Amino acid sequence: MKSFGREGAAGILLVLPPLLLLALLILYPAAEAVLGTLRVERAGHVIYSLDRYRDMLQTVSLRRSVGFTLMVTVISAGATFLLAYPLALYLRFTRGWVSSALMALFIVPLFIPVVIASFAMVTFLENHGYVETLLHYVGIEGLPPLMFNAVGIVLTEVWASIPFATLVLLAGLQAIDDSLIDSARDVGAGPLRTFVSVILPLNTVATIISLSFLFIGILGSFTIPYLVGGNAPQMMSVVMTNYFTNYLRPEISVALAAISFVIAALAGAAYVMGVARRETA
Amino acid sequence: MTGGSVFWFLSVGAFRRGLAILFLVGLAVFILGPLLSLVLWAFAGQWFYPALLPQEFSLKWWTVVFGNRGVMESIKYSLMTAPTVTALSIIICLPAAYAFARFEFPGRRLLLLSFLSANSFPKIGLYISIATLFYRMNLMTTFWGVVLIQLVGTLLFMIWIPTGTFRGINRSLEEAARDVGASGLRTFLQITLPIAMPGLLVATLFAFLAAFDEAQGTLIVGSPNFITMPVMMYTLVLNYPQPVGAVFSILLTLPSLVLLLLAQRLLRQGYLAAGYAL
Amino acid sequence: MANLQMTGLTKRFAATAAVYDFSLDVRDGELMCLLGPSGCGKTTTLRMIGGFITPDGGDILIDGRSVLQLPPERRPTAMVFQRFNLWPHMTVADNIAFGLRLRRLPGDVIAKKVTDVLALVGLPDAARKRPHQLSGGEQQRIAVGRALVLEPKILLLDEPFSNLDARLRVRMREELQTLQRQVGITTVFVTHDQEEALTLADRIAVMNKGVLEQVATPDDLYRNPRRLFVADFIGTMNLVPFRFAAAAGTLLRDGMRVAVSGRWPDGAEVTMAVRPEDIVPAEGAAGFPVRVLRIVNLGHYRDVMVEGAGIGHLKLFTGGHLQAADQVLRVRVRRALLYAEGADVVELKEPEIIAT
Repeated sequence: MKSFGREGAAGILLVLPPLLLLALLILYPAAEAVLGTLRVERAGHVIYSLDRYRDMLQTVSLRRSVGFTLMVTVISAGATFLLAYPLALYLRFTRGWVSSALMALFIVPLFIPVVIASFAMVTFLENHGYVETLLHYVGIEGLPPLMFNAVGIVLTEVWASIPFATLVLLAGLQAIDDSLIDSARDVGAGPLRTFVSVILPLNTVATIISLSFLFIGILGSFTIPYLVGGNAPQMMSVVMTNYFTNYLRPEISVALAAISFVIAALAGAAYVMGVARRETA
Repeated sequence: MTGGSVFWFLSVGAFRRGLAILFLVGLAVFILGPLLSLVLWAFAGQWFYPALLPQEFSLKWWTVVFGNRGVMESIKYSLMTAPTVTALSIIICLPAAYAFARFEFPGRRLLLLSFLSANSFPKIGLYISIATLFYRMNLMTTFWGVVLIQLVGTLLFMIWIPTGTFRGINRSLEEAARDVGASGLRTFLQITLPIAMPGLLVATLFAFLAAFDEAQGTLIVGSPNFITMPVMMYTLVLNYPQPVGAVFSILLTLPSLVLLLLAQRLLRQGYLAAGYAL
Repeated sequence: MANLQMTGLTKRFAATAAVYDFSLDVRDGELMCLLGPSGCGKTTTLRMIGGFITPDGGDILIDGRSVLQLPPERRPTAMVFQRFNLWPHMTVADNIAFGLRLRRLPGDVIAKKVTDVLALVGLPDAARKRPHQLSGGEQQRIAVGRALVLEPKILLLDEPFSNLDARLRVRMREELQTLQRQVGITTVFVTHDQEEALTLADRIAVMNKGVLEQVATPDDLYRNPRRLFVADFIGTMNLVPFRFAAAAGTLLRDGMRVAVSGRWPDGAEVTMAVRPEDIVPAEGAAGFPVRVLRIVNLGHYRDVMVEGAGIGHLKLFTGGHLQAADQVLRVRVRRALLYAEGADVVELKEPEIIAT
């Protein structure tokens, strides 16, 4: 436990305003909401139990929703990562017009609000959408549905997530000094070997950060599945909203939110451990 | 810097060039394709499958959009709230970021993390609690209520990126200023802040976009009287013909595009990536 | 063991030529230093040898065969960088073994080579340590060991000691020289520190603004610098500008003239370069008068700054007798070198310098 001191006091004071805002608008409401889901009435008394959660997970549609959400999240995060890493590598090690073009290109989704991105994707991927038009033009027909299903959600999430993932990975790669890589080449390592033995291990922190943030972000995203997803199964965020606004069962809504948060927290724990590793290295 | 050398990751020269260009084209189609589609729809008088371009170009949907009072009001509200939120965010977060970067106090790491975790709890789940709270404080469907809820969404950017930026500034630069007699505040304003400016601009950029694009929280607090553009967008997308949503999308994207052009300069100097060096 | 030949190497960055028409032969087993101020092109040249930069013109031959087409991983060269040599996530042993494992050598052979090379660089117990547990000097030694364990034909070093403190630098220099002689490997060593070059090198190639000025042994370079840049860069040199008066056959400046048998155009600017140790006290009325400004006692000799009418400030080194400032004495020059644009250097023994 560090000693307080004037610096400590000043530190806490300066941090207080945003912290209070956070506590007031997120931490307190979240805690209260979750506590509410734990309150169950039994025989006239109010007790705390996980009954509600147990009932929820026994409901097929809700279970499917959780499973579906996890699947879509993992696939989207994975696909984004597999796209962003080569991109970051290319941008780190090459100069030239292709590099500049890629640099300008991958940043674009960052500046498009998610609502618009979703809508643009709809017009692009829907039945008789632009993709189908272009393919028809070159003579390809009979594409499976790309919109209002898991595929649509994955494609849109990847679209929106590329900038962030690439930037984080690129920042990590830039921190690796050139001579560490030149040394590997100098002793005879080819590109693949250098990547696996030197670059990948030294870029671990950025990898962990990007994967965990991707996971958390996609897990909790609402707009994209709402506008782009199908009717069943649905992502948890959409189900949550439906239970609140349409079915008027807010307690289920909050319980789902709590489950979603717990899953996110696990990914967050991975991030924390990744950071802890860096601070000691 | 392995200056002048070609991309050495694959062995054959022409092959690797071709692969890179292929990747570029593929990425360009993936990223720009949907946007192009949207732009075409905004000007489409008549567009039926399988035409590559609209059969008829028209500006009629633009008149529809600009004629809709709700739409114009949402534009006004967006332009009122986003800058306010950004300014407030800067004021309350930058000192905190500096404290996180420079001072040692108990629970520092935990607090820094809590800003991160807070964004992971789905906003829908906070609906009731926030609604109740805001009712009690008379903030529902008011300007300041919406500002507050949008402010929360910006905290992450306005704290994390500036903290990283401040940490990256060598302490001896500040110590030299103190040494010649400058106070802490003066040092911060005249030495630290100017040097940190690129990173802070990046943070402001993201905070602004986060505030501008915020939909869920504003939906809770603002409807039905105080609707910003993103919330309006939901309605338009679900209830109106495609071109209407397309037109409004262009309007909603304009501030972002302007910022994108400004950011290109920062990008070229590598600041965006540096801002992500967590 | 091999010889290295560079012919007409040129490299341009944007509009400027970082290296221009550079040709040099490095003999088998020789330690060649590339010496010059920042921006002279020495590191660029080294990186071209290593394969990290592709030259715009010229060729690089090792044992008579061009290596220009080979990427770094296939060239028989090994490089020690200025910093960040060792991979931080691997142990010292793994760092050294990395290249050996790539060559699919059997495990026990690798283990023995690692042990041997660690003994060679004087760090037998470092195998299981991580780079951050070693000091800067130790890290560089391991880096040299890692390079040598692969038995390359040419060893390349890019200012490897410039990040270490002064005393450590001197020690590392001596160790490297001993090691290089012991192993007998052809070495190219880049530095901006002329003392380092003079100590280490068998021969020194002095570079300036991308061009090779002179290549010679340290002694030769010191005694017979062929160009003004080299004269000024190596060691301490007193430089005095004159103008040549063809009619009188003298070099002239305010307050001083020197008789020369010259071959420069009339009015040409000629610079006289004199080593401090070549300025000695004169007997009787010989030489020219100077006034002592400052004496720095360096133990076994004195560094004296004098001022002469017409000749500005001079440095001289001398043994005992000068005690105080403001002393007036007469000195003479034992040997001077004369440089002029477009002409070869001219040596002048015991020049007749007359104060006017």
